Amino acid sequence: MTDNIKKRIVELLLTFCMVTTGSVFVCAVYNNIFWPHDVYLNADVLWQLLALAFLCSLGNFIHPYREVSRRRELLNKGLHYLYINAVVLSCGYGFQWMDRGNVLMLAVMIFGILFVFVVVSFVIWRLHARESENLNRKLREYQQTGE
Amino acid sequence: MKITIQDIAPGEEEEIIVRCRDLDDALLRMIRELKMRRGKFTVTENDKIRQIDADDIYYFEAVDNKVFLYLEQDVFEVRYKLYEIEKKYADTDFFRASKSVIINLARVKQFAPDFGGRFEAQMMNGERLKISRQYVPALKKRLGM
Repeated sequence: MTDNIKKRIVELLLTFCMVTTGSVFVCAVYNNIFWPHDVYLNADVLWQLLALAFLCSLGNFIHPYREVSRRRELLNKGLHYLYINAVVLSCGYGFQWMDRGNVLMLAVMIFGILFVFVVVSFVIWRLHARESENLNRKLREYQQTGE
Repeated sequence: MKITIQDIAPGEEEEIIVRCRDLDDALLRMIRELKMRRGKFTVTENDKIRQIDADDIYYFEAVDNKVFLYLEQDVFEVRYKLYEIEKKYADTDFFRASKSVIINLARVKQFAPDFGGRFEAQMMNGERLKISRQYVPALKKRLGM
């Protein structure tokens, strides 16, 4: 297995875990807003959240490994965001988390998507920054030893 | 310093082993020179031929089917293809950072995170070069990560 494929799988799993966490958080807030007195959740919701996280993680493949311009990268980021909106809203209506015609539910869901997207992007950026710190540490060692 | 030269069998890989107490600057310079020993680039400058030490090169860049060699401030066109340079300098400080650029790791000031999972190499002369995602695993391997 090449390093690139390994990295892709690791990224997919990482995104899956982060999106699952974010979805559970948004689900908890969403339930508190719209069904504050409903104590019990159908167990199917757990599978639905996992399916949602998996579908959202597949959006990583919008970003190719080959070189693309900065503009194309921005476009891909926009497409990724639209893809996640489409997936979450489709799941929202498909799994009947949202009532058709309820604008407030739609607004809260869109805000939830934005929130999770921003948090996940930030965490990925932090991991990327830490990776670059490690690279710099190794670069200094490389330059000092000539190895 | 004692210098030992041993004959080796045909086909056996040539090897230089440095045995020392401390890697001081002089020794590091010597190691780097050894690693870059294949490296003198011939360029033409105002109809004069000039030899450039590989160690002084910051990076190579391919633009419109031409390959340019960048020093701290000067730029020269070279008559090699990028893949030929990559092959010739495989065991040295040169590293393929993207489809169109080969950088000298000894001239990199630092790496910075860039948009879309890429990295940016900030060179010692202040220039910034992109490192593609597809070359990041090779960079890590090269740096011993």
